[in-house]
Amino acid sequence: MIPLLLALALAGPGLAQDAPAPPAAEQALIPVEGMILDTMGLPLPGAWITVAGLPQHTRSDAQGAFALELPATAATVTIKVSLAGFDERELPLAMPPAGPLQIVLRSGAPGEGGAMGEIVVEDTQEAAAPIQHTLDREQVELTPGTHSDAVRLVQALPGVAVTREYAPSAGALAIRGAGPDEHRLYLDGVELPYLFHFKQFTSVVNTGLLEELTLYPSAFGADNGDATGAIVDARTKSLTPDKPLIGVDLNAIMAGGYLRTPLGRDLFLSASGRRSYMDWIVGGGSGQYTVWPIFWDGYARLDHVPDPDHRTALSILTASDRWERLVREPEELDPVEAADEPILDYSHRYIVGSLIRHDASEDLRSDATIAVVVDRWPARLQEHWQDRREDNLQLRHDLVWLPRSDLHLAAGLRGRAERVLRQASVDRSWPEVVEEAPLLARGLDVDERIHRVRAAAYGELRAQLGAWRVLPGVRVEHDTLTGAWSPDPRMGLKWKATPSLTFRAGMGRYSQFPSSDALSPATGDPSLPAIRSEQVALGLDGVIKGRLTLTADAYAKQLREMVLETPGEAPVGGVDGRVVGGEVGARYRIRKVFFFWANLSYSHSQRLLDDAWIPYDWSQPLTAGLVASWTFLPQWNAGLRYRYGAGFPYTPVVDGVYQAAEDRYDPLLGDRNSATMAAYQKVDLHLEYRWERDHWRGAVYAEAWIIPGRANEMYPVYSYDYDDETFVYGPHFVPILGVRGELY
Amino acid sequence: MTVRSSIAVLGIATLCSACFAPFPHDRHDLVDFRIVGVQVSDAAPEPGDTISAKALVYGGDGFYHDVLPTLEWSLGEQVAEGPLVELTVPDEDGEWELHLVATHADGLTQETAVLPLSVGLGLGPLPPPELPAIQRAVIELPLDSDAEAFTLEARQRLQGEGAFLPMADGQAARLRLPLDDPEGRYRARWMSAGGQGTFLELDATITDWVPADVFLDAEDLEAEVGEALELGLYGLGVLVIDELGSNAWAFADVNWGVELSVDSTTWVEHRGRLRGDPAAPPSGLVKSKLMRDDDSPWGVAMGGGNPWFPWEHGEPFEFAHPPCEHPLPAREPFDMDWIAEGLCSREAVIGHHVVMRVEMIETWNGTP
Repeated sequence: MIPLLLALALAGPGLAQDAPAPPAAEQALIPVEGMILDTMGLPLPGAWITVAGLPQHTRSDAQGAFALELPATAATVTIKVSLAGFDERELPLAMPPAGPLQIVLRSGAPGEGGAMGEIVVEDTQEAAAPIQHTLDREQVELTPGTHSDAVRLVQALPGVAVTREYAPSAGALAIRGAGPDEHRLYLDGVELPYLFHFKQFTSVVNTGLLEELTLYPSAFGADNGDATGAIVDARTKSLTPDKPLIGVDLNAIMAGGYLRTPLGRDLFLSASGRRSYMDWIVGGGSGQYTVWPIFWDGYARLDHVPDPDHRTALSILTASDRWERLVREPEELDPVEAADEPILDYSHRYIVGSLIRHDASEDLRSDATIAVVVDRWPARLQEHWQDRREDNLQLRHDLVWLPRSDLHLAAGLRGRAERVLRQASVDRSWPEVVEEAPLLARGLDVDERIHRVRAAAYGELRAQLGAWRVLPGVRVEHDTLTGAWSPDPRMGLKWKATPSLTFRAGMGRYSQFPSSDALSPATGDPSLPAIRSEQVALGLDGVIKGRLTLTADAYAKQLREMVLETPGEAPVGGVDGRVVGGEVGARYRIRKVFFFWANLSYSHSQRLLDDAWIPYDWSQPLTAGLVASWTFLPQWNAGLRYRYGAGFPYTPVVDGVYQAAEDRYDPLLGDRNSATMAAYQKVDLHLEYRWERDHWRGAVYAEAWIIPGRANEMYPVYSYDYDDETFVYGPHFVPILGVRGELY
Repeated sequence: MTVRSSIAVLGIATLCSACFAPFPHDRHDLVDFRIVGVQVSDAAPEPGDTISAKALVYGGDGFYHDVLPTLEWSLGEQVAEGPLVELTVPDEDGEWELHLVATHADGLTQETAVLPLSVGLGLGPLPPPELPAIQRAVIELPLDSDAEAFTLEARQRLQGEGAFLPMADGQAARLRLPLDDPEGRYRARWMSAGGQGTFLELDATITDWVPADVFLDAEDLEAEVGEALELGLYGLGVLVIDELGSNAWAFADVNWGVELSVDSTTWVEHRGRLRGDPAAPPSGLVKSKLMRDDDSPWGVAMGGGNPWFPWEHGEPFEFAHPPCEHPLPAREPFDMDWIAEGLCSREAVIGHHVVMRVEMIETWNGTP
């Protein structure tokens, strides 16, 4: 498997040699010059100019000018011009040209073309997969409440649970009734150990690095697997700056900067880094716990881009979180207890190194990734400690053969080899630290190594049959730890009934292997089988007057052999589940002037426990969202966002059992998920003023979030004897002032 | 070269960033029906041993019950019922659990407790500790002090004086349980009947008690001090634990600004540690009639007492006890613990004369 993938990955450059290009050296060439302009007549630097079927290519310079040498004997050639943020153009050019060319590019519409400087995900009508959602950069920057964090904006999409600001689960993605453990989150095809610092702060991926972010909420195609939930597929840009650029970002929590620079004609370097800094200013805490957690992330990437169709990127991503706190809440402690209370020192950090290769010719596309992930998760509490270390090698190769414009064949391989080292030295249980140190919480001495290999292969036909798009596929996965094989058939369908009405469908069988921790002989159950799911999703898109898009989706999932993993407890296997739901939405957009979307989602997610169907932990029956952003004057923009989410279920503590030797109480849990938190509502407002001068531009903006009443219940807390319950509330009103500036 | 920068100022214009309204009561506050402590004669017995077990159950209004609660005990297959039971330790070595279910007289309210027993593991014997008299002092700690004054470090610097005099305005009580505990095995857990006042503990066996509700914000070092309590006597309890199952409890009253004497009609303290004349002998007996007093943590007050008379523990003497629900030791003076431990209901003792032991209050200078 590994040699094959490596061979495929390294075979990429050869694909270009297969392109039917006549040897240029044998032909007489004449110079062709021109300018690349936008619709205002301003020059556009950095545009790629390629020639169909020929190896010639170049880029426009700082004045938008370019020059090529083209075959003098050709009657016509087709010039292709592409630039991030603009529509790609193909121009037939009669040879020889009468004079210098002027090629005008229009600003790209959403969903059309890749975009440097833009996050572009295709509109559902034009998307390759029947069931997927799209975002773009304009929406990220102008949607109130996302703080320019693209991953947070995913939480505003239909079917995605509305989580509560400040809550421990604020950054969790619960999608179509599936919890965070059921999804796979990829960055350039590499699965990351975690996506949000401390599960709730900013995502570890700098939004400025992202090019495309796609959410497949359920019933996805054969190219993704080992997941019964959703796929979040983030893609970084292949950065090709034409001059050095240095940026600085500073906000109330963290500071960082980035660098992008060419190192040669085809070689480009980009790097970024961020760190929280409040611990340097106000200290680490009150002496009892860390008020300001410490986190940082960094990214460096070397791009070799001889032309847009042949790219290689070598990148390193690293992220680190560290936190110290008293084991028990300070509010529960007397001063003398607080002075004696042990402190948990917890950290979680990882580093990902990856090599990405992209090659494309007229009839073949190849994307290959090889990555190494080192993930460390140590925690110490007095003389007790735990350490979880995972090293994994991830391999991924996708090939798309395009023999005809209406027929594509996709195939790919996935591989993941991992070694998990789990160690703990502890002589009692510490249930208070279950979130940060589950082995200490359970009080288990553990010293084990787990080795496993997961591998998958898939094939998918992508055929356009008139108004029908048909995507049958199959995926086969194998896991050495469970010994399970999972041949999973998939099918996607799209039918464009009229130019403005499209029906969509996705269905198939899906498998997910339990985590290594769940399969641990020491703390889990090695006999757990693979989780199986059958899913179907149906949808339709209607476009009214070319701008207002209406969508409706319905889905159903059946789940078998689910594993309920509760931190600090042994996993419970063999659980069945079911999910049904629906989503309706509307979108309206005038690019750079106004956008609006609204959605309403219903989801019913249950698990079968003790012959009774109970709400799943992440079941949020009703969510609603509304986003509007309006640039009402050239300098002024105002935005509004409203979110509603029904309360998540939770397992209440119904009583306490007095532990007489220690004079403390242990909680006595009620029926699982038999209580429900209050519904959540949040309004975000955004007002921005922008200005521009000769060599600089700036913006000042104000945001505010408003959470009415008692809607911001984050999690329940209990009195010392568990007789009384109340909730920890997040802030109800937070104003945010910001300033942005650019010198150029 | 392009330089881009952005500054966002996150202003939290709220009273809290993540907070909850504090619960009105914490573990120091005895307000509801609650098992305060469980005691066995040996927490590390050998297989087949016989141990006795009893519990301190707070009735909801005080250390008394108008109708006694039902206490159901279980140890392995064995079950027993009553305030003071004897149980046979299982024959099998290992960690066992003694379970107690206390049911209020209303039949609905139940509390459960678990006490571990290390049977045959060579840890024992682990009898409950003998508790000495609680010592007390008063310290200067005005309620309008800033938050810093309430911190552990600031209070450790305070010295006090013996508390023969009532605690006055601007003062707090300092209580110490002077255990002979060189290994630091025991820890005192202080509680107040009715949840009155605030305990600010100083170390494992010393606490300060402030006659007001004080809320200390550990993060911001802010203190919120409520109104001072009304002048009066406040009943405090202390549970001593070693986390292995050797538990014991004791009680003390704090005199917040009230002048009292042995002849006072108000109950001062139980188990004879009445506030007395410094010139009087250190111990003796007093006979008094017990009267209903809902304001007292014991539910009763002395209806006028006779002068004390000398008696040493162990001297042969037959005491005439009230007709309680459970047998009482005839050769011991009446002990208010018998009410707290459920041998006597309040109804059983009201109107009866009892002979109780009195002792001098122990004091020290308040130095930690």
